[in-house]
Amino acid sequence: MTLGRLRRLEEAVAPTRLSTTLESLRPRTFLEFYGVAVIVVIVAAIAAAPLIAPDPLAQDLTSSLAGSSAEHWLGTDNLGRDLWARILYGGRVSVVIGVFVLLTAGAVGVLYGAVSGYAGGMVDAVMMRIVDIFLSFPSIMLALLISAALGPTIRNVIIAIAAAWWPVYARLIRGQVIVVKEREFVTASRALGAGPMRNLLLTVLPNSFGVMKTIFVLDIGYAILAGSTLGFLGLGVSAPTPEWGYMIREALQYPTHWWFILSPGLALMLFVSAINFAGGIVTRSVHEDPGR
Amino acid sequence: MSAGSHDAKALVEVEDLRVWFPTRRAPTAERRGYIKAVDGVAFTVRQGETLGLVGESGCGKTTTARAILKLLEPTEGRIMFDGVDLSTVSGRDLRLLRRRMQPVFQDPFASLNPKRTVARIVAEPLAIHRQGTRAQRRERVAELLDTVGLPPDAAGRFPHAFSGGQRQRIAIARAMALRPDLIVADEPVSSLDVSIRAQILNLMSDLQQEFRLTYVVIAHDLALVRQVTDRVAVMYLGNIVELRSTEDLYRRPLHPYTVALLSAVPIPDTEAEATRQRIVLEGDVPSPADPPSGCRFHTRCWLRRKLDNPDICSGETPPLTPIEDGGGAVACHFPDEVRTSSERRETLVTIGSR
Amino acid sequence: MKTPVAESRSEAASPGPDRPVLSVRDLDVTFRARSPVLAVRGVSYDLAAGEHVGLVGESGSGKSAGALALVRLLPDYADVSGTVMLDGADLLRLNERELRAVRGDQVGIVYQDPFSSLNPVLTIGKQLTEVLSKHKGLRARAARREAARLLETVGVPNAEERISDHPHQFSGGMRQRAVIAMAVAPRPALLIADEPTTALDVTVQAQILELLQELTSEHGTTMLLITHDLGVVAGVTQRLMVMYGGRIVEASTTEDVFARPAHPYTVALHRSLPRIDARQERLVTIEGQPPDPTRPIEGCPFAPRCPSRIDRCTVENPPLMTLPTARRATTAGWELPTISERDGNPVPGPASPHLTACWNPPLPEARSAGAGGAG
Repeated sequence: MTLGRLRRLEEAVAPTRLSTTLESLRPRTFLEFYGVAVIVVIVAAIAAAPLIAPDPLAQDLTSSLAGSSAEHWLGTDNLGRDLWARILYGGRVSVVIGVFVLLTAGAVGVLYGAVSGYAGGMVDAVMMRIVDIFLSFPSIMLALLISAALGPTIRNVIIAIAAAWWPVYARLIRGQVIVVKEREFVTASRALGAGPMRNLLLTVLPNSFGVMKTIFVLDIGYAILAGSTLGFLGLGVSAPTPEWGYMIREALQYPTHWWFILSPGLALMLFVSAINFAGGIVTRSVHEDPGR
Repeated sequence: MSAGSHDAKALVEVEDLRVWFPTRRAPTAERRGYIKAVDGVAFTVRQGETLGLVGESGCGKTTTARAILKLLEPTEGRIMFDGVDLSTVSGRDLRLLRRRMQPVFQDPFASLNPKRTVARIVAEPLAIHRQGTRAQRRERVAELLDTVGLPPDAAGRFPHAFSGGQRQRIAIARAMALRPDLIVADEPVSSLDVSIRAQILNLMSDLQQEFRLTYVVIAHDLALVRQVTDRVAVMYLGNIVELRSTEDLYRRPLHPYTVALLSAVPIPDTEAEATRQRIVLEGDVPSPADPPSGCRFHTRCWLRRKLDNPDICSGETPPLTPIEDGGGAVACHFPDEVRTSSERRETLVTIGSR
Repeated sequence: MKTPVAESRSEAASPGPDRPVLSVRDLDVTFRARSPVLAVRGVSYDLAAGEHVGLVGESGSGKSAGALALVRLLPDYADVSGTVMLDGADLLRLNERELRAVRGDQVGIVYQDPFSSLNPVLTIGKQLTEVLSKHKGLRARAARREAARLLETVGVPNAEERISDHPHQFSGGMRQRAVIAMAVAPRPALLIADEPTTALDVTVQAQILELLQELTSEHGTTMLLITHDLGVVAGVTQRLMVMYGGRIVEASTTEDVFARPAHPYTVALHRSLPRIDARQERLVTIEGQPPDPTRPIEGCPFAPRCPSRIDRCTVENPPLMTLPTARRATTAGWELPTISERDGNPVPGPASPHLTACWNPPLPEARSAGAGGAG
């Protein structure tokens, strides 16, 4: 009633979209600033890794398990490799896993869920039962199984996690599509003669992403965590390639050398929590989006 | 809006239209349940005229409109559009047909895709039907925006930047893009501000004259219906109870339900309001899943009570019968009693119909 | 919440038979947003006991925000200032607990959409008895009996049985009846009805209005009826206040506002209504759009759309003034009132004269021509 109308009034006077979007994506709270800043610093550092760190694979057994020094800022691991370099290069693996898991699982899940929701009826029922089967396994178990079967490469880790995750997106987007497809502008588009493909891709889907945006951003963090979990369990990226999860696993054997375990752990925590804080911006912008 | 001449040819012919929505699925026919939203409706819409559909919510007017637009399939009956049976067309032919009939919805906040610019919304029909080059479309959009009275810079903005009235103009521009013959408008102004309504109605009237449009307008505001329609179909529980020229309906209503509707119209005049006697319809509209026997209106009919509940009202369904003197048709067993009733006389005096 | 003390407070509390039940002074409502929405700007009025007063305006005029602000039912991002005196207490200064007691007990509210104002998972009876036990302290069985009786009074047939129905089993009209039953159960001093019939069919609308009128007259309840529909208020209210751009622009008896509208907006509104008595060649329109509530208005909010605008209108906002009498009307127009003649900012109330916020009110001939309805 009234408040709805007041909201519309606010909308009526809002500026055009692009500037609105940029404006709403500006961090406002301290945590949001912090999150964005940390992400920017980390991404910049791992991008510039070859410039600011030595070779992460170069072994020097004479100085293994050394503490912090001018040569090795964070010290070295059990094989005398520079930890600073390994953290940075390991970050690259994490970012690749995070982004590609999201892209893969997102693309598959969104397409699957959208088709299921838009088609409705029997098609929807069958497609959703398949999703239910996937969801009935704990996702980390599923990822472990797939990863173990495929073998330890970055590509396989991405496939394994994505395979465990897409059903969640399929579910989510299906729910949105079912709501949106009944909205009047979709009927209007149908009355104009738009076919189902056009309707789904150009009219329904763009209006179904609201919630997904938030979840996508937060899930990048969780995908990184999942990748590290696989690494920690020895089913992630294979040995010489630096990877945070696997580094923690290695470090566990040397509990007295605290910096060894602390640096990958801290890196993981900093990065994932920063993504979480920054995710708040997206949540807010989705909330404030008048066209949502 | 412009009066369609009486001998104009029919653009839309609706024959015995029934739209039932299943409420309960069951293997045997007797156990199945249906909401009989539209249950045996027949009328024609003549080229160039404005036909009004009025009635309380749940009377089936919106369902009828959607069936005409082939947005839902009739359970039974036939709808002919310019001589073509809608149920027989599909695929490419249907798309060509859709170009000729367009809806305008009630709520312009819901009927425009919020993620698109006005230019893309108005050009969408052109894009769907692959008309013109990009540049030509842009030109056509500018032309359409001008036709509906929006500034050219509206094209680059998103719907939320506009007020309700402006949004309805955008929706009308979209509907006009393919130069349709028929526009079906479901409560086109009821969600707009009072001071904006007249603007939109005048725009619709101008467009009708300029482009020889045919309108089917659904509205609950009877004062508005009198201003914009040439003929009116009054619906009750999925049936048409009276179908008359607008002037006849307001001056000489013949169905007790029509009289009751007219008597309920609020009048912006203190004196008229202070002295008027309203006909109170008892209870609610019965459920369309289980409509009353005989005349569907008999459970709430003031005339039936007055005539001491004759059996025929609950026993026999009155057909929509042509009226002897003058055009139109009415579905009542006792139209003469309505004609001579004091209720009708008082109602007509109150609304000052002349 | 800022609440500057209204200077006119003593005047509001002046004794007499028409001593106001509700006294609103300098009410401002602003919605905080990227661009703040100035919904209500400096609204003052009095309501006397038992009066039925209409607050008419279109969306964005501030009529609903202004009414909901009285009992602080606006969302957190609304800033409300001014004073709202009800029974000796300033509602804008009460704490949450005191306020809850006022809502329902002293002020009843009927919303536009009867479906969303009822809890869908509780039966109608349960929701009614809750109100009764909270506000009247009735025990379970007594409350249930009273609930059935109430439903009966508001015209729900078979009340005894239907009391165990859920809201979705009620039709729109019946739901609104139930909502009204709940609102009047505690016998509030003031009933705020916010577009109570907008979501209903015409046939039901008349009945609901009649019901509201009956119940409020019976208990001497003051009713503030908010609507955009001039037809709705014609038969139900004694006084009208017309809002535009967050301000009251005209106030008088309902009869006066209908027969002799004194603000160009009211006149235009009358003329643009489709008439049921005869077909017009072309509908009269009010050109332009309502004012943008995020921008401060210089001058009169209606000026950009006003046919009788004069230079002064665009620079100075006209306050509510007593309508100049006929002798002051010259052929050129009204003799413009000067500041000193404004008789100290009159406030719309039970005994106030015809007030208009216009520098150039319509001439008497134009005004009577503007009166709509059946002739």
